[in-house]
Amino acid sequence: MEKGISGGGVSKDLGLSKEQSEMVQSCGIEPARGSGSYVFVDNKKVIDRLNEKYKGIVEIMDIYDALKKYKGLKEYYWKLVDPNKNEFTKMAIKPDGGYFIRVFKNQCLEIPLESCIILHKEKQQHLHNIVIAEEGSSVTIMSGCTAHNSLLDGLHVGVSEFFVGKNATINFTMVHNWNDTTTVRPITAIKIEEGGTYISNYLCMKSAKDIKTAPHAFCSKNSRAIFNTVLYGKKNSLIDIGEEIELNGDGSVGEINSRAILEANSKIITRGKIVGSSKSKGHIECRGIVLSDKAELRSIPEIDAKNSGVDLSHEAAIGKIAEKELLYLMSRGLDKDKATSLIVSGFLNMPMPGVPEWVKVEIGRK
Amino acid sequence: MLTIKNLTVSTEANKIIRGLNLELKSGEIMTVFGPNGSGKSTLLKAIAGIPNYTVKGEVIFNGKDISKWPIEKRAKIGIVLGFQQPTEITGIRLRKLLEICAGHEELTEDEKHLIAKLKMTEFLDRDINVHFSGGEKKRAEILQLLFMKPKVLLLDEPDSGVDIESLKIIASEIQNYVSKSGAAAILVTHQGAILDYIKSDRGCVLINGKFACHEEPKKIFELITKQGYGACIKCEHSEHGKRN
Repeated sequence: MEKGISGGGVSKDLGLSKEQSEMVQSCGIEPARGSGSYVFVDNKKVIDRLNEKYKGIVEIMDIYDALKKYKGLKEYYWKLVDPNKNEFTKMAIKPDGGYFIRVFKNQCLEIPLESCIILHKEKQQHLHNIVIAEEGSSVTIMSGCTAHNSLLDGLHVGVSEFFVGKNATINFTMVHNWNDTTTVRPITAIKIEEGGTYISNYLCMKSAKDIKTAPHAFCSKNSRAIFNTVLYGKKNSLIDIGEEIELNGDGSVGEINSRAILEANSKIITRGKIVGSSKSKGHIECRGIVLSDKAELRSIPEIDAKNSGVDLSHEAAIGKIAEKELLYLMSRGLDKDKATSLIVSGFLNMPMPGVPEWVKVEIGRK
Repeated sequence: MLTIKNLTVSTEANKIIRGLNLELKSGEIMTVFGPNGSGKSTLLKAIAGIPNYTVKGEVIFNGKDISKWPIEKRAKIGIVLGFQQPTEITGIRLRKLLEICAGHEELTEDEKHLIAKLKMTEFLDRDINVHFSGGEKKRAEILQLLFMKPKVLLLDEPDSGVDIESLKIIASEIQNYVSKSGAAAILVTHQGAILDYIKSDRGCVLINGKFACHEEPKKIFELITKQGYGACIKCEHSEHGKRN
């Protein structure tokens, strides 16, 4: 019997303080709810549990346990990301921890795995995560990251390497919920084998000091990589997102979709890039609404065709809220603020497969 | 119910409505014809309170001059506009907008019944007007208006782009509502077919921002069909004609 769940919360029976439990919940994560879960606080793993029912289907454990069990994870560890890539990868050469997830061949995990990474009292944390979906398998992962409001000048570094096997699917949703002074450097790479699918849904709805990430996907024949990003720039946030997809196999498909809303002094840069080196198809769509004269949104889509059979496109539209939309809603009795809020929530509400209902509700509240 | 006195509506470049007077009684549907660009849509927008125009004169609703009221305040007291070209809004479902119009979160059985009658049930969870046909947009528009329980309906070509079957339903629902509620309506149209299903005894033609003819709507439509708008200016019921 699972311990520690009361009214959807997590008690200290699972190793979390009341405060930490609330932080986990703020990310929408409930460690005892999913098929398995991993919670990391500051510099140590607090929870890695797998529901008995899913043993033999999936493994979830701390990266150090996996390195020990699989003798260094030689085929996976630092295989997609160069440890010397930059100052942040170097910080993670000896990580504090991180999750290891492996979905066994042809296994389909219908209930999501959940993870939560917390900066509570320590200034820095460095993680290395590895996710493997073996041939024909399928998994949905919900990941939340947060920092305690009292923590000043925190730094989160997270290296993540995803391996999508032949005809396998990984649906990865990440919700960032940092505080105003946290610097965040996720470094992510994804290898997608023939017929595989990787879907990333990234949501950042709270302010952060500085987030910079450039996930890089490598697509084989008939595989797909889809990045959906929803960003809400608040206060003095600086968010720089630059997904890159390499379409290396014939029939591969890449999509990068982003929606950004900016208020106050926030600055957001979206730099989607798709490189087509095969008979492949890719599309980048960046849309944004700037609500403040002091905010700045820069969209830099880049498409690079290296094959005569490639079909790449991009479209970007950024600006203020369309007046005719506002007037239309106001003509139905809404005042300007309510009409604006409705348009903003609708704008952010793009189709994101695998995103749980609570995340959609959260978007709707913005 | 609605009185308009010496209404003038201008943009920076043009004077569109030139000193119009109008009296609309409860339960009355007034039909307005006019060539393209004559000011019909502008007249309705000015009454509804759409900004971007310079408006002079009085718009009096139940004794109150509302000419300075913002659009949402006019909508709340029941002066509502059915747009000629309804706006598409991505990410917001038609269901949500209808709930806003109805003033409650869950649509009632009666409301659902009306939605079904207008063949819009399958559109409820689609983005507002996005990828709707012209007729579907007009049906969605009528639903919004009727859910708001208006006192004055400003109907800007509710029949354009609508197939004959839908036209019958739209027109009948407007007529039902006006008959039951005692609301008033101004109907802008280029088509005669809608007049077969709506009881409108009063019609006029708007030309260059002024009413040029007052007559029974079907007669006006017949005249326009046979002789064009030029005949309206010469019509014996025309203000212009009377002056001469």
